[in-house]
Amino acid sequence: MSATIQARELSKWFGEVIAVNNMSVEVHPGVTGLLGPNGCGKTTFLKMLLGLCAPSKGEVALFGEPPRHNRGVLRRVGYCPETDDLFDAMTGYEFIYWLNRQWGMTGAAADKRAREACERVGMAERMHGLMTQYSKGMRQRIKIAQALALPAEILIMDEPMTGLDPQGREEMFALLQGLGADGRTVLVSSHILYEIERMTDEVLMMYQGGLLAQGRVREIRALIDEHPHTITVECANPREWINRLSAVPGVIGLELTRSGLTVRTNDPNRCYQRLNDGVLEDGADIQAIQCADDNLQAVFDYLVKR
Amino acid sequence: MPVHRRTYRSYEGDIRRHFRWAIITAQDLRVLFKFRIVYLLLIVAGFHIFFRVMHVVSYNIAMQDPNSVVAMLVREANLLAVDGALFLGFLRIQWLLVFLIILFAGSGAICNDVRNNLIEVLFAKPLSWRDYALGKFVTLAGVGLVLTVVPVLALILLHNLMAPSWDTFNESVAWIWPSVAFSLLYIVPAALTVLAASALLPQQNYAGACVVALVMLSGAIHQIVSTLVDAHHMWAGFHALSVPTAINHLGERLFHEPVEYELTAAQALASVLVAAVAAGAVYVWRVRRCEVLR
Repeated sequence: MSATIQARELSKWFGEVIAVNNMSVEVHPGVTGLLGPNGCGKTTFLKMLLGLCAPSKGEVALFGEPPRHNRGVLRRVGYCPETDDLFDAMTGYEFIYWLNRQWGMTGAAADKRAREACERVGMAERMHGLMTQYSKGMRQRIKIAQALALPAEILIMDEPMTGLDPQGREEMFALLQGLGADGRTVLVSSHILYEIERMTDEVLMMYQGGLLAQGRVREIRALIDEHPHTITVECANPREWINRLSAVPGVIGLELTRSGLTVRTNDPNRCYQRLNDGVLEDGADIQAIQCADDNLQAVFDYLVKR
Repeated sequence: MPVHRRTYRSYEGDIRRHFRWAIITAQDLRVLFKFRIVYLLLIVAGFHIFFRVMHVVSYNIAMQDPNSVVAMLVREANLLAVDGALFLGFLRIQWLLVFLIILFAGSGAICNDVRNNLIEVLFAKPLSWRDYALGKFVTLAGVGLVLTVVPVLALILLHNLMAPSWDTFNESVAWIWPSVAFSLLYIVPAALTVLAASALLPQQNYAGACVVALVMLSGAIHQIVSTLVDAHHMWAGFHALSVPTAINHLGERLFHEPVEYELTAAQALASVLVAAVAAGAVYVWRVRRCEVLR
């Protein structure tokens, strides 16, 4: 399946400040997380994707076409901005209705889709309340709903979870995953690793304006050779396992812990295979196997050398 | 990379592709009528229109018998006459209310959208800066014209209905064009100036204060310069430094009323055009910058 979002050598600078530096990425249908600390250029990158910000250098294409002033492309894109102070003088429903009209829908279609979107984000009961009277979480839901109300094939969500309560977050995770599974391209930016990890393992990592890595978290982790993988094994007879694992190629360190042992290896797959074999052949008693540093946090820390 | 099947439904309805600015206008009008102050200003404007209707009705009742004492008094004292002075006077008073509504509706039109980042949501839709700018302008101009030209047309119609004759028709139709022209002469520059201030400044209050300050400054400069001009018999074209004075002057000329200042129509028109074009240029420049950050 071809990439729906393509950026080639994309850069943006404001005076002497480089906001985005030479980014070349491809984003495919499904949920992709855009991850990076505050101020790393995520929002500028998203604005360039939407044609709201002209690249200083490089090219960006959505569905193979540049987005700027391209109504055909923009009609296929939904955008959820970071801010939630969108429109105080309107109700949530009116806000979505008018944005639908501006997209080009007829009155009846805009009304139907606005109601459906409010229902989808759990705002059906409060959609006729003024947005000034909404809590931060409710505004966030309305903001997400206005993007969902459109028949968009690409959804660009800038920090969509900010202000949502835990239940709201869970609902939103499921919703975005569902949209991704439907075949839409959902690009979600966040500086919170957990949020991205909860939604997808396909990530774009940004740091100081540049692209750190792109792909699946484990694939990226596997490419970081200078930091061996740490596997913790909870078992009844750790000394026996130390003997077994010391012979496995790639293992560079073994350490006894209170509940078992910690393995440091450059080739975690061989270790997992050996542990599996041990359980199957000898009925060895292993309670838990956990890789402590193939999560997003660890990968991110390694990449920015924290 | 997982393979996704596209299971979602595309939009199958009609898509509006033309006159997209009308949606911006419709939305702005909807928002405008959520504020009580707008209703208050409309009620005041309504009273004024009602007063003028009574004026036309009284005149036509009085003139039903041209030989009556009342009719003679009205003619001799030039009271209640339905003529150019009536419409010029009506439009001058109405202008104050229109200016207040334009100031209220327009001063936050752009800056609030920018401050709330709504403008980037709008421009992420298939909407161009032209649609946005035109939609905002039409809102203000439309409200202004509804409060000026429409009542004038209604008064002319009423006058014709009460005194139906070719003379009345020919005489009153001739007031339509000056009324429309005079209304446009103050509504267009005012709307563009308010929108330009809103696009330039970060807050509604600043934009409103800036426009009021501009009008006052323009008047003050005019007063100072005209004092000097009168004192030294200098060029009368300096009166055109004040745009409101220039607009008033054009109104007097359009309705064939005595002029207050020795300006030519070209000088007055140039003053109004320069103000409108400058405000329009600032407005367009700022809105285009909002559409795509360079």
